[in-house]
Amino acid sequence: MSKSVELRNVWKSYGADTPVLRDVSLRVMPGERLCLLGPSGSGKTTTLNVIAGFTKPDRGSVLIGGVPQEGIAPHKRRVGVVFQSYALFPHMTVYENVAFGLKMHKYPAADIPARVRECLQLVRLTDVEKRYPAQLSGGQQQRVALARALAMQPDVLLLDEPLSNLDAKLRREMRAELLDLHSRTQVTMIFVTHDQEEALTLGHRIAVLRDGQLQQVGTPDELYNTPSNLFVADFIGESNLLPGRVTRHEGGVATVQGNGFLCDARAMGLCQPGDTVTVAIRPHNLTFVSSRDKALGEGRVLRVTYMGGRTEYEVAVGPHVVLVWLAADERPAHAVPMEPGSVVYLAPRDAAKVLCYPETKATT
Amino acid sequence: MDNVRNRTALTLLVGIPSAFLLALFVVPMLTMFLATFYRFDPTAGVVREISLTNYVRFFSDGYYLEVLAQTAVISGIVVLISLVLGYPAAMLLLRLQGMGRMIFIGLLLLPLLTSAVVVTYGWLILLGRGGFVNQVLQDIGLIRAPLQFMYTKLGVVIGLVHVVLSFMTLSIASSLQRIDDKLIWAAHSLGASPFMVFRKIIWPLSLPGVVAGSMLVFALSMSAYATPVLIGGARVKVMSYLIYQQQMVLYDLPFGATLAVILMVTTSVALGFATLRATRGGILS
Amino acid sequence: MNRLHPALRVFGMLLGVYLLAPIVTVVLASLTTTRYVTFPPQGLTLRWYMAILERTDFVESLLLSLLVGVLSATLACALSFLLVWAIERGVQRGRFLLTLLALSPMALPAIVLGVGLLHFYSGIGLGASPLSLILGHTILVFPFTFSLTQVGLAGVDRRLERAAMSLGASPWQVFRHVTLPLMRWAVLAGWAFAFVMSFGDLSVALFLQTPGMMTLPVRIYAALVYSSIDPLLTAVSSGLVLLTLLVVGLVFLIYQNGVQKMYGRAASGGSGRRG
Repeated sequence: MSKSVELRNVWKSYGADTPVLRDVSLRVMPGERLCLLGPSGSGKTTTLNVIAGFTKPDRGSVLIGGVPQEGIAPHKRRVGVVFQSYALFPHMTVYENVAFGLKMHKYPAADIPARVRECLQLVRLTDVEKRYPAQLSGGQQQRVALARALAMQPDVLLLDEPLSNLDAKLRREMRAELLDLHSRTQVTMIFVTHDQEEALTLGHRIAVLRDGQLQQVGTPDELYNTPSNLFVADFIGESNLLPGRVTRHEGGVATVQGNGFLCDARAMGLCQPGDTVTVAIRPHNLTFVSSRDKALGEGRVLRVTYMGGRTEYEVAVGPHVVLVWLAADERPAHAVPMEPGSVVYLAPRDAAKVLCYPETKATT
Repeated sequence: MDNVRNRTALTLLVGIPSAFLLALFVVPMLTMFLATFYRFDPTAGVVREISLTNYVRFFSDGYYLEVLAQTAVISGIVVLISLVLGYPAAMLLLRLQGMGRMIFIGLLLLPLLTSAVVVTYGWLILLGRGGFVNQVLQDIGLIRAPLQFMYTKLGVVIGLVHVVLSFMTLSIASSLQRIDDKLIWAAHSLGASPFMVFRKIIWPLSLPGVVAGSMLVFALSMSAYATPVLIGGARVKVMSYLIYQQQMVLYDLPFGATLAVILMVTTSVALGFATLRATRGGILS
Repeated sequence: MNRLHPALRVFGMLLGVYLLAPIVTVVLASLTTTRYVTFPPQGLTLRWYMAILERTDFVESLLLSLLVGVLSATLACALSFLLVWAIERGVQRGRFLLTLLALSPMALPAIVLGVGLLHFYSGIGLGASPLSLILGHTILVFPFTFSLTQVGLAGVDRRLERAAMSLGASPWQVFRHVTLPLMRWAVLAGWAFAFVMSFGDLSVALFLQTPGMMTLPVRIYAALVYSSIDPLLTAVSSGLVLLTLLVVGLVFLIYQNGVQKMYGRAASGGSGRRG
């Protein structure tokens, strides 16, 4: 039975140092996949610990299915946890590991073998029941950890960096399997990761954490195309960040003059004329145009890197180095040479996705 | 599992063993310490008058200081030899794998586990004037007349090193093991010869183990009884022997206790250092 | 330089000889047919072992040593466990002091321990007796059971305990199913070490025994002082060695079996295997 998870104004510090979690409020819908994303030290694992009950918040409350969890010990919460290191009991077989939760919850003994088998089938593992964790590969261990956590049908499933221990190919497989698992079990899943690509692919919604504070909570699309602050814009995907000054502001669109460029950008905060702001343009949102009139700026090509699916251009615009990505076989309509040293004119493809923030990199 | 928060539980957990140790160890030792300030009179027995006569007696009589010095010297030699033997033994230990390693550790621990009486008996048989070692040395032609091992400092050192070697080896091995292989490869890639690598990298990084092992071995040698007494007998006098003599033969309990205290102070300091180092690292070895 | 240099190999073998020498000597000497102790033994016979059975004094000592060994090892293990748990899982400050207290018996010469206890017991009217010997040995072996138990408990990954909690195990169940099994080998090793130490101890037992009730090492010692050429003594001594080896061997087997399951062959020294 999947339940909602809610954090209300949670604060947590260890010792007298700066808080690890600051006023974190979050609501996860039943059956939703939520990704907690942030750099290391941002408090994501602490959030998991608070939900699971391993740590008590200093202030604020945790609710599962609308029920406050204060005073409820971890072993009484129906929260399944898949640890980053899997934490499989080394002295028990795979069978005993998966059956452990069932035994603790007093599942009828006669039904346990069938349920264990069912769970292992769910994670596509067969014939390993009698083996010990040490005899399994990393990928297999993770599946056992998943099976174990799911066996007792938890209300919520917490996963700590589920894909970071795996190599690229396994990561892709596991990603697909986790999604498949979710669609079959419909359990509320909360992932923790520092990898934004992982977050974008796995989460229905993503909550970005930084230094214990939530920066933005939204769908991958929202976070990618309308990041609410400079940190999120920089953290998710690749962005060109260009400082400048607002010359005009009209109807939510600011005109920004920077060193070597001039463009209109959608204001993501208070951007008044005269303010110093930062413009964020994604590399694939830029292209080359034939003349200055349509361009936001002029630049000189520094380097061209062929990356298989796309070609990356490093262009010097004023004092900045701007990245432009063109698809592999794309050539702008005009025939302008684009080798290193050429002078080029840049323009955004979609002006609505050019954003500006009232912060500068130095102040973020 | 969360830490024990319940005060009563914690008090019991700490209290019961502590009470046991305090009552059956600390208190007896304290009473013994107190006894060092008493006097022994052959006719009256132990006279409970506080005075420093025992300590004065110890420090003013050259004989006792000599014995303490001899104990320390023997212990020092044991440290040096066990270091010289223990360091390569540690290196060997780390290079062995699987069954070989198990066997080697077993060999190292065997002198520890076997009763001192048995081991000394063995040395007695081997090292006597007509013993196996002397016979072999004479047969090979290395010596003409049998060497004297028993009842000499040499014999005591042989016996003590035999027992303490495992401590030194394991201590050094644990330090050596912590050295990242990559440091050594990096040094090689920068042009250091194997000798330089040892001198500049391996040796300095293994020092914690060397120091800890040396302190431990020193403490053990200072306080050893069975080995030096059985091998050295009355001719190689160590503090332990004197203590036995005073307590069980001469019945001068206060003075015997004094000897024990002086020995203990010396040993406790060394062990205190070793413990400090160990608990700081978080792992007791 | 990770290969086994031939010089190191030779050194290892010589060292092995040194370490084994006195013990092997005693065991082999016990097989001699001669009526006096000689090494190498002349002829091979087990008659001296048979002769032990007729000596009730040695048999009594053996039984006493066994009893004292088992009881003091068990008591030391139990007390160590309490203290280790408190230090590892509860106490914040005072860890150093408590550890120092636990290890302090090691700071003393064993004979000082023996003498001090003799005083103390006489003072409280107990005197030398099996009980005082058991208590004395418990103190003697305590630092070792403490250290090993601590290594065992510290080695239990706390995340495994959390995992068990997340699966619904109450604190007691976590202890029973996860913590204890994972530290069992250390406690067992500690017990075995304590037993062997107590069984073979001379220094403390020398002071805490009465003429009617000597432990085996003390009796051997007394006999040695009287006459060191009776091969019977070598037989008794090697019996002591064999018992020691037996206990250690058993623990080793249990350890191998347990660790092998848990951490794969690689941890116990063999080549790793991936399923």
